[in-house]
Amino acid sequence: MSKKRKISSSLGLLPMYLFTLVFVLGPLIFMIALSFFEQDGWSYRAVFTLDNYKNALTGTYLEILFSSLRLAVISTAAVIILGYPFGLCTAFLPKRMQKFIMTTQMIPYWVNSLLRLYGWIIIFRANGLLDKLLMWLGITEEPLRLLYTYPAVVVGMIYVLIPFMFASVYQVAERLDTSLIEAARDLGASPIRAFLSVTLPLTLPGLKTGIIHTFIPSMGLFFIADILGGNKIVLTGSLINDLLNKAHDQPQAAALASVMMVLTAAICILLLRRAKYER
Amino acid sequence: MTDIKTDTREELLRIEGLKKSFGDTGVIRDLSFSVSRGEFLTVLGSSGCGKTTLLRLICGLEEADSGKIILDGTDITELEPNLRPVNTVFQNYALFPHMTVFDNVAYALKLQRVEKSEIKSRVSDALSLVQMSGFEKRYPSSLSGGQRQRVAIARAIISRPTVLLLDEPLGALDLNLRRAMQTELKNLQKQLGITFIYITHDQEEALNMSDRVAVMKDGKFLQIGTPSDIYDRPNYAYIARFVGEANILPSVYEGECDGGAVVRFGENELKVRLGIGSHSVGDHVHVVLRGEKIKIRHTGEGSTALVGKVTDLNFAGGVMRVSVEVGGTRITAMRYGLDSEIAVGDTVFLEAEDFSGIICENDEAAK
Repeated sequence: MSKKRKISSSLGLLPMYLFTLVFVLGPLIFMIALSFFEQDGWSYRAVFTLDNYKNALTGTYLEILFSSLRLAVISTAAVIILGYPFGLCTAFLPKRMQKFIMTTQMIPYWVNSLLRLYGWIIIFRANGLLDKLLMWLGITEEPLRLLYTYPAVVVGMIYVLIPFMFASVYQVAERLDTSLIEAARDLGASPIRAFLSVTLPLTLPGLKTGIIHTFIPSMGLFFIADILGGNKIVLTGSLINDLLNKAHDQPQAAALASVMMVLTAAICILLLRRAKYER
Repeated sequence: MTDIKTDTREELLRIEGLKKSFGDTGVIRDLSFSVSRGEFLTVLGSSGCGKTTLLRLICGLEEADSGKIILDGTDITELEPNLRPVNTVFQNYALFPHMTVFDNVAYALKLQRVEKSEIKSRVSDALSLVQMSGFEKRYPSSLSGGQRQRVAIARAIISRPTVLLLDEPLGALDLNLRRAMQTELKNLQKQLGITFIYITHDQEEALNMSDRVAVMKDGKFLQIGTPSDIYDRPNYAYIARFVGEANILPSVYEGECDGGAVVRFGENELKVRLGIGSHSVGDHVHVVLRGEKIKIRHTGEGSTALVGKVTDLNFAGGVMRVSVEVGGTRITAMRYGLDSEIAVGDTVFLEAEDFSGIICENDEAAK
């Protein structure tokens, strides 16, 4: 590329860079700085302190962080178990079936996500749709009262997050050359060995992207826990929300947010490392 | 390195009444043939003739509707692909992109839980056989087409399969490399003594490499025989056109003569060989006459010469293709070396020795 073109193409990138600088990087730096400030009444004082981090990493706050992590891990695991085979199998269907599944999969997302979540309340609540169905089938004799329980929250998380896993796995699996699986079979691999040695490693990039797109949001999706879990399950996300909007403790909220950011960033870096053959 | 190719003619693979359809279309239609141990059989056919399906049925990636595949006395028709002692070189090589050359070639051995030291020595043997020593740590993406081809062959022969199937393995290579690889593959097959079933649409490859060639059309073998059989005694006009260049002369059968036949082509009577069909006097038949068997003269000596006008001259390196129109039929004759004496519009006399042509069945008979 000539020097002139280099300059003009960087000019084209300039607005985006400026936007990112002002609206993303700036606030981020401000948040990190804030996390080291002292709380002063309803506001903060620019005095350096590590107290916010000490609080964040001890006692109740740490417990809440762990329970957020736990929910994120459980939800991500469930999304992998359900979404990976779903994305993979869809890619091996005839093209027309693929289109049908993609479309039917998308239709619910034309409705606002909060509204859809309230739909789950109708299903889960005592004597709701699920209870009625189970009792009608004779599986249970009395209402299970699933609403405001941990499983209800996990189901809500899976419901919101599974499309991300599906899409990233499907995208990679769709481009997978099926003759590679056939070659493995031809060379003596059982279907399971062929999956483990060829299909899985070659769709791993999709699975990793899917995990990133599942795990990171699941750390922050506190409104699902609020709606379907009542106030029984407190997550770091809702804790930050409360600290900001109710306690007005901005430095403490910033410290918790920074801890979460470092955590998710570390997971991203770990997952985004490329395999040798991709380089 | 023993050449066991010619001295044993023991049957290794037998296909009996094999049938396969996809939906309503029959892709393999009642196919039966057998292959000897150590033989190089080429299945030659244009795209869509069912040759790849045949190969997939043999290696087990496709299930037969009916019929039997018997390998070394064992019925393998229902066997899973991983349990068949048959390996395949795929058309697009199908090398595992996430594995090094070493791991690709070692794949089959690792599945068989062969000891590490043995794997190492066998992989290096296989790679040296295909002249790819030193590439062990490379990934397929960093190899050229020809190199990938060699690795794919090494991977397929490492566990010494009873039959090696090759699906147009040279299709993606350029002409020079393809010619070099033809010779190499042929030598490799002799060295290993493995039975090769080679699929191609390239008649040059088929004639050059094989012990026998099977010409396939619409899910059936039209003819199976040595390359010279196929070239010199084609059963069908289709084969004559597909393998080499051929002139098809529409003629009328006039009777037998000296173990051959006499036919009338236009004004002329020609002595030709009999093909697979039987004919009665007055039947319309196709006579195949290869271009290189025709001599072109400016003066007509003898009564058998065909008279025609030169319509086209086609210079192709060492060969000049001369197209002559004889009574509405276009006949192409070969002249070797440059020839300035012939020009478009000349009236010429075409001569061929007796019995150089052969009566072929027309294409409808092939259906």
